[in-house]
Amino acid sequence: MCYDRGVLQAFLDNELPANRMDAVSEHLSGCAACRRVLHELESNAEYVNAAIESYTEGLVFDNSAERAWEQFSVKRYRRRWWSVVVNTLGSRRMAMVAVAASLIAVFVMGSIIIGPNLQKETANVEATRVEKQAARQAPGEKDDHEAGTLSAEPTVEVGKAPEGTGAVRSAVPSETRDGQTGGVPAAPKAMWCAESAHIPIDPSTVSDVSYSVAGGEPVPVTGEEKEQLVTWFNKGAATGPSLQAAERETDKTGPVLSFTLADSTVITVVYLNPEEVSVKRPEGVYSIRAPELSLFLHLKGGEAIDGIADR
Amino acid sequence: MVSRTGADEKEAAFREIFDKHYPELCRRLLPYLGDQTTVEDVVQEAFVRLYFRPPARQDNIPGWLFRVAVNLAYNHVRTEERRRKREYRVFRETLGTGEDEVLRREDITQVRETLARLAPRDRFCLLLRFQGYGYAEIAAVLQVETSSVGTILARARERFRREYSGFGKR
Repeated sequence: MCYDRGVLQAFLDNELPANRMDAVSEHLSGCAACRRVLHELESNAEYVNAAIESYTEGLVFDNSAERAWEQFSVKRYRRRWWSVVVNTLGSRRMAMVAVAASLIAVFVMGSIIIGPNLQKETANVEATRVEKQAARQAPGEKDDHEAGTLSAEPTVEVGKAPEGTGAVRSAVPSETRDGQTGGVPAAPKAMWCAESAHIPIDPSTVSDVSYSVAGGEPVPVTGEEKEQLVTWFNKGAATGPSLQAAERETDKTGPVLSFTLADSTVITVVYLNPEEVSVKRPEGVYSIRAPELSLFLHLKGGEAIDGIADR
Repeated sequence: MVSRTGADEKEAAFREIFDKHYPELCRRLLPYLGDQTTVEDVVQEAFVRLYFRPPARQDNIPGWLFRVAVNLAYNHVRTEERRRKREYRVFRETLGTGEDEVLRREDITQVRETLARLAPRDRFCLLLRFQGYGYAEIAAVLQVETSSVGTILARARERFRREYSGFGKR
């Protein structure tokens, strides 16, 4: 009885048990038809392997190690965050239900609690602005309040940050400052501004980056500088080139960095507190000096949403 | 300006493994998937698994990573099979512009197209065998019996040869 092609292929690749190898070998010595099939299989193997070898030799993997590492870090951070939720609640289904419920609760509570505070804060800033104008008009009096100096303004505690993060603070969105837009869409209805929200941005999803200082017009950042800012944001370090340039120009803290993603999500970061804080990063805990992350707004279509769930 | 903690030592060691093996792993996976973005997704996921669930024995990390990545890749193409041809997009080859290179470019384009036309099982079987994997390892990735690998491999090569040799007649 002749062997099928699969057995002969396995014989050719020396992948049969020893006793079967012997049996097939014995059969082949007396069967011309099976020998022909064997030669055909050998010929096919040579033909295919030569074609694939020629092909794979020319392949090049084209990506920078830094970019790959950032993409990996985003995935790892998401997995860590999700694993904690799943492990805590016992199953993926429970975790998904809990996240959905949390999002709804955050949105509703945000509307109820932060909304009035936001209005109050906006009113405070408006009052400060009026005072500043009056001060400017007063001859000989020193102007201590430069326009848009957010660090001079009080911050409003809106809740406790998740474990391991710094304080959660609220501040006015930049469009309330001196009537400037500052690169931020319409005023958010709710805020989500824990430092734990400072998760990395996938560089490949960023379409536009801009910064503004002292309530000024947003300045678009392009090319290598744009990539550097995304990298800098992801590292959570206060060494961004544009930001430093902006600070030198104005000698003031309170610049705004804005990242627009391909799906129209806008991530806006306002830096305002001078003191040192610890920020929990995917890679570990870093201490970051001014201008450290003080406010994190994650806006989509003008409304603040839960950053982690959305990205 | 940024002070580091002890956790960074572990991170630095992991980064070293990542930088050392990531490009080669991606290059090896390219023929299976054909699309660099998908390859990178798969390889990064393999590293995420290495990070959270490393193997008990760590004497062959690149081998472990490749096995995980190729399994992820196979599961991916099986679930995305309907979009297989569309996803098998062009990626870059290192080729010059001379006459020989033009001919060679044509050759490898045809290989790529031929691989794209094969069913994922056939393509993975061909490539795994080409890369030196035994029947037991191939069977584990393809989720078939080891005794079936010879049949799958023989048929896959026949199909490849038929498709590839047919290019000149089109």
